[in-house]
Amino acid sequence: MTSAAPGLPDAPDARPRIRVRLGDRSVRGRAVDLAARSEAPAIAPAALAAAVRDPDDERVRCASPGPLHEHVGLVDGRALPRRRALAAAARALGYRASNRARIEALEDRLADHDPPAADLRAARERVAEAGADVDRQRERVATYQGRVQALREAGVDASDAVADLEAAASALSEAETEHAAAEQALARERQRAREARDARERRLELEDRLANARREARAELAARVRERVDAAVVATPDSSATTFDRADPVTARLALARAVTLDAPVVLAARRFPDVGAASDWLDAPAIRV
Amino acid sequence: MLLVVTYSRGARRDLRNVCRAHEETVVRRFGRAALFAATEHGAFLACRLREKHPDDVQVERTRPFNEFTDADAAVREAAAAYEARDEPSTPYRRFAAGTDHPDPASLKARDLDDDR
Repeated sequence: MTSAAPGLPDAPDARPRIRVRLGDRSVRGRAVDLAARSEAPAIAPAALAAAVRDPDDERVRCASPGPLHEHVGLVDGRALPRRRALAAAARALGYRASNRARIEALEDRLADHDPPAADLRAARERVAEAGADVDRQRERVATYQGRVQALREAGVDASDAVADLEAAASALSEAETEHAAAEQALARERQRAREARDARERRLELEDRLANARREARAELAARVRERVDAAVVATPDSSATTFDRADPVTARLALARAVTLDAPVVLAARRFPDVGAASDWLDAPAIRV
Repeated sequence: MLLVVTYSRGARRDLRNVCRAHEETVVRRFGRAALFAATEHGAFLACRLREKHPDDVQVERTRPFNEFTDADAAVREAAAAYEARDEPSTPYRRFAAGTDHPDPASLKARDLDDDR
């Protein structure tokens, strides 16, 4: 920073500061070293990075993070989606993809696209149940028929059994009617589902086109910042890589964070700097070391 | 066999994963559809997909088509004769008129018998 004019007090540091509160201990500043504070309750680095991103999480008070924070907010060795991260860095630097209007138009069309339901489960289940009922009723009818015949052959009064048989026959007829109705309903539903699936197919095409457009946008944005990020890779301590694509995840994250001005703190789970202050200065961002 | 067709990106992705993990049950893969073997495992996989994406997964039961047992000779012969026609632009309707070949309306009116 430039020094203040003589005779005037130093201008207060206007760069974003943070406050971290864990348990009953609270730390303020631009560079916070939790690793050196033995009394601080342990917190997983990922949980701390999530707290940075969550505006309602009282454990970390800081400026609100942009979309790049998702990729670089926690500097550790996890794999990094390189192209996505580069595109996020480009967006943070104010670049916009040339096909943005097309992406927005596709998003609007997709949002308006609400295909009707195509689930035939209820209709299928009704057919299956009705079919099983028909089978059951048929068996009953056969049983009563056998009983009536046996009674008659034995010369015994069969009128009760005949009444049962008639009742069973009537139940069978009802079951068959229901089965036919269920089959018809399923056929109608299938016709309806066909139209719903046509609509879903069109939605799928839209989704594919949108995904392609977003991929193109990411490639274009990534190309805009690649050189700048490659330069940051070369400048990263303990890095032998010369390009972003070949850098290890820690180097890649540090380089991205340096290439973009971050207001929200970066959580450092890897050791590349003598202390958190040096890291914060190099990154020109608030930093928390865990 | 079971024909599984997907209608969303999520369903398509899950079908792809199922196909990758269960080659022994997947008879054939297409872009966003696949044929599963007609085994209980095939049904299990299809049910899982349907359970996860009820609206975006269509499952149909299919079986191989044998034109010599599943269709009348008249249909087969009509198809062969039409493919051997002299004038490529002749529509089938005109081609069949005045011959013994079935007209399109009667072809459409008759279902293939499942128990043939």
